[in-house]
Amino acid sequence: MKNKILLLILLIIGFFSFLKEPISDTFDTIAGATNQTYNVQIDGIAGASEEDEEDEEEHEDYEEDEE
Amino acid sequence: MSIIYIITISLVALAIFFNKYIHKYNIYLYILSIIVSIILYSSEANVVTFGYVGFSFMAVVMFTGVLENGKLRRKLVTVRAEYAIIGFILLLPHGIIYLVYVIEDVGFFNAPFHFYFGVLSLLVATPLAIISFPKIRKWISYKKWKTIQRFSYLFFALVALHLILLQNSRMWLYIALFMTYTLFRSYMFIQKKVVTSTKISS
Repeated sequence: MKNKILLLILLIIGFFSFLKEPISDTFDTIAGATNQTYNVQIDGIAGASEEDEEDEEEHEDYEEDEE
Repeated sequence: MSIIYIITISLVALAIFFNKYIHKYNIYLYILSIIVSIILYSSEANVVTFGYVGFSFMAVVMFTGVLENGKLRRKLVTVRAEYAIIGFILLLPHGIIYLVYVIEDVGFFNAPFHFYFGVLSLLVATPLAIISFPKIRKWISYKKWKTIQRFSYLFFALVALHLILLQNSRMWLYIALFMTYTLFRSYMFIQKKVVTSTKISS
């Protein structure tokens, strides 16, 4: 019974993980390619943000300067 | 995290069908893991240097501990030590790459919190992996071995903190995974305590 409950919970977590991460990215990574889903760790350590508002703001500032 | 799921399911399937072979030819598998680690360490970012493969092995080791007695548990226990050692070997390139990167480019004391938990987890895992070798296991008493093995819970906790503090898009999935493990482990611990106290009182 406990094994079945564990399996069910793991299946639910797995379902959400497959929902969140494109399967094509997963297979690309296994094949050796990096992509948007699996390439953020180095950036994370270096303190870079991942496509968030900061990037957009910086971009906007740049556009304003140009004007 | 789907990559971890795919690898973990494959590892469970391998353990179910080939557990005897994995156990019998473990030395060859360790050598193969070392070779793979060395090759992939020097190549571009990949599933091993990201830590996914190593963690998948550890996930199997971790959840085997909370399974009910039965066929599946028996088969997974047969290869548990092997998976722990291979997982550790495959986690080394991940740890070394980031350690070198942080020391050279970021500065050891400027790294984010999750990095330190990663370093600590590898430090804790090292003696655990060493005493998992059957030959070394024979040198120490069972009681001592068991005491050292308890540090695996600390290792799992450090890995959990390392992954959760990354605060990436998978954070909630990691929280769910480790919460599940903690709940099942706690349940087992309480169950064991109840059984022991019942035996003593009777």
